Amino acid sequence: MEEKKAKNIGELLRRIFIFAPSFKAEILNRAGELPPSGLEHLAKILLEVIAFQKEEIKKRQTEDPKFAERVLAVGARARQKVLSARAAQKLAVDSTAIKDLVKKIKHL
Amino acid sequence: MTNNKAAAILPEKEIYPQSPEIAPQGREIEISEADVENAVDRLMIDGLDEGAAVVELVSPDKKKTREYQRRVETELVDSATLERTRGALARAEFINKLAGGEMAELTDRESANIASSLESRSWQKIFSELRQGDTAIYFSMPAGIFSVKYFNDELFGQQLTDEIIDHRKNYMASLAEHHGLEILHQDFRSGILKPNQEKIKELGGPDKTADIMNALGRQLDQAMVKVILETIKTKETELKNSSLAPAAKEAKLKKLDSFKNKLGQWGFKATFGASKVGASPKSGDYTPAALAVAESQQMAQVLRHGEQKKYGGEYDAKFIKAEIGNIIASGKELAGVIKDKNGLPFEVWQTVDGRRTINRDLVRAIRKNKFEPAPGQEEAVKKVEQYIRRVNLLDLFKPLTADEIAGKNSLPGSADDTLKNKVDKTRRLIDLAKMKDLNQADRQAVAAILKVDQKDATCASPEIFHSEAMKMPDAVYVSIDVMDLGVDLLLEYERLLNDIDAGKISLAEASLKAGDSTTKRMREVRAKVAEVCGRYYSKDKIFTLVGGDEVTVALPNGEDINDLLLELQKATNSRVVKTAVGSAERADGESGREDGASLPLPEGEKKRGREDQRLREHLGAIKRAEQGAEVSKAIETARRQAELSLSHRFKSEGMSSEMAAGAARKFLSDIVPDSFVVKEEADGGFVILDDAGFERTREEILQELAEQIASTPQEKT
Repeated sequence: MEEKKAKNIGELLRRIFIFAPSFKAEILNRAGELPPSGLEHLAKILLEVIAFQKEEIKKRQTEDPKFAERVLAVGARARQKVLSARAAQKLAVDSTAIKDLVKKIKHL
Repeated sequence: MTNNKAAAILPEKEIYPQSPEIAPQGREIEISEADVENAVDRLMIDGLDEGAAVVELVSPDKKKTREYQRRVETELVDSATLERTRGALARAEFINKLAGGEMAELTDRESANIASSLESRSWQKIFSELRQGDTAIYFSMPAGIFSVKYFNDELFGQQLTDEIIDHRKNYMASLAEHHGLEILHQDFRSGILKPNQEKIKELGGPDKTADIMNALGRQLDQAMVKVILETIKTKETELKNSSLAPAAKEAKLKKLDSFKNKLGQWGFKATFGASKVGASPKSGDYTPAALAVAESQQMAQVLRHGEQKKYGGEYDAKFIKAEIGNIIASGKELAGVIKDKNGLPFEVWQTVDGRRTINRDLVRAIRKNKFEPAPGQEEAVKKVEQYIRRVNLLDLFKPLTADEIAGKNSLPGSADDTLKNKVDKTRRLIDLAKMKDLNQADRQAVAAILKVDQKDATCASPEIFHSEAMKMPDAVYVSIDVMDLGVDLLLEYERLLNDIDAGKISLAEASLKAGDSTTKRMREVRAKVAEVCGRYYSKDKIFTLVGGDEVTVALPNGEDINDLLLELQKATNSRVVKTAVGSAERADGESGREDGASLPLPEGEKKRGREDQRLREHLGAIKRAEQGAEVSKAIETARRQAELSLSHRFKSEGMSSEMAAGAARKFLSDIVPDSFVVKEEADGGFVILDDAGFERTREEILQELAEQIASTPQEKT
């Protein structure tokens, strides 16, 4: 039961993108120390977060019809960069290209 | 060991699948929510901080995002802290019952707990048990990569490090018993033992102090290497299953591996020192006991950093004096200037009050491993590091000043109470508790001792602090972090070593006085905190928790405490951070925040115990002060770096060192205020409040700083 709940946390976190990756990693590491009731409780909060972000995206898409397209385009470009960086085995040391891209996201 | 189930079964995440391209630009496609989620997911590149940019992109409602983060953080308060605080609350209830005369009968266990609580208070056992002719054995855990700090921050995290410390304490307790030693004091990094000659004879083991110390050291070494190897395995599994980016994971695993090699090579070398207690000149003067502890600590300290292979050594004044001479000589050989990786020069020596002393900026950076040398400067920096480590020779934490230990001054917070009175009173209560013979008046006396902090009787004990703060409906926590205390302590040791070497003070006197000015400074800070808070709240509403270099005050939520915060900062010259228990996540769901930003509560939350939730909120708010302190540190560091770089520029333009430094300071004070406090906002973000009453975020200040530095200095030339 406990294991199932813990697995659930991992999956829920994967669906959340309004938390920074470092925060998500921290949640995951520390969730292992929670008692079953705590895990259950955490899962409920995370479900709320997912529902909230779904609403947010819907709202953004309604307000700005180009929003989704922009996200996808940035996603695709980021992925391309990452793949080439990976190919050049630079991912571990050089994240400048990705950082530049993410900076651009801010100005979308 | 830690339960890693969650980490272990994280779904395998392929962030960047090798599959074909999605949504090339310009192509007309139907975009589903899932597509958006997937695309954003790909932007969440582990190990990069830019997650925040994605958060910004997708969720313009930062306030709500922060609220969710805070709720999750409250849920994640680590179980060890939660358990410890639950224990403290139970003890507080017991203390209050004792004080109120509500305990008709004490069980055997309760009596034993009273005795051990009293015995463990600020050197009580050292002052009452160490007598003339006794030997004090001090043990110290290894330093550097074997230190608790390194374990905690770099290798294992708090939970596993706490487990290592517990193992060490248990091993030490059983080894001490095995060798006929009594433990007088034991904390996370050191302890003090007293050999019991009769028991030693009975046990038939080694009877020479040096042999006992080396046997203890060897046995502890073997036992701890096993414990640490097990911990490394646990951590490796944890890391392998974690969601960290491959590069970060690899770096951490590599660090563990390199540590494992060093552990195999060096072992876990705790060091021991021993010294005999001399005769006391008069009743009530505990100087000889304190001196024996200080001397044994110095021996342990020298062995800790020395080349010697042995675990323990008996105190030898000549040897220590020679070591002091060597330390001073090694200081003279240090380079005059060292450069950091940006080419900024740091003068190794400064003149303060007419004395030559090591540069405090350098000490601060090197102590925290934050000094990155320029290429070719590594050796010079290493020498400065070694010098700083060796200057720590006198590093012994004493709860009282030399004059209080000698009975010349009364104890803080009680004008007519001397150390002797306190030790005797406590001893009597311990004996009565052990005999289960505490009457009502005695029980109240016990409660009075346990209600106050062991270092400072004007402050609450941790038990009372947590229990009273939990009772406040909307508590506000103000954390006052005294800056540079560690640096000042080191500079105090350096001054004393120079004075010993120059014959201005005896080694014994310096050993007893070392740390006194820091102890006094912290007392002054606590007194000022009480005074300032006392102007805004009645005394019975203020509860203060004493830490090493910090003080945390719990206050009832007032209308506006900006003035109080700024006054506290000015009075104590410290880093001041305010956090608060948010009421949005209340289990009872009765009150939302003032700004109406409360979130709907899920069913399960209502069912949870109200107390448990309140405890999490209370601990969460105290813990968040650390995040606030990080905000403050970022600004302080940026300002210091800017000051250095500006003054270097001004100097290269022909100004004298003093003028350049003054000009840089003046220029920067317009951008970064000299005094400011950090406040947690209702939505969980932090703002910086300066003494002019302006509130800005960290990013705003740093941005302004960067812009001004990029432009103004050139214009000044």
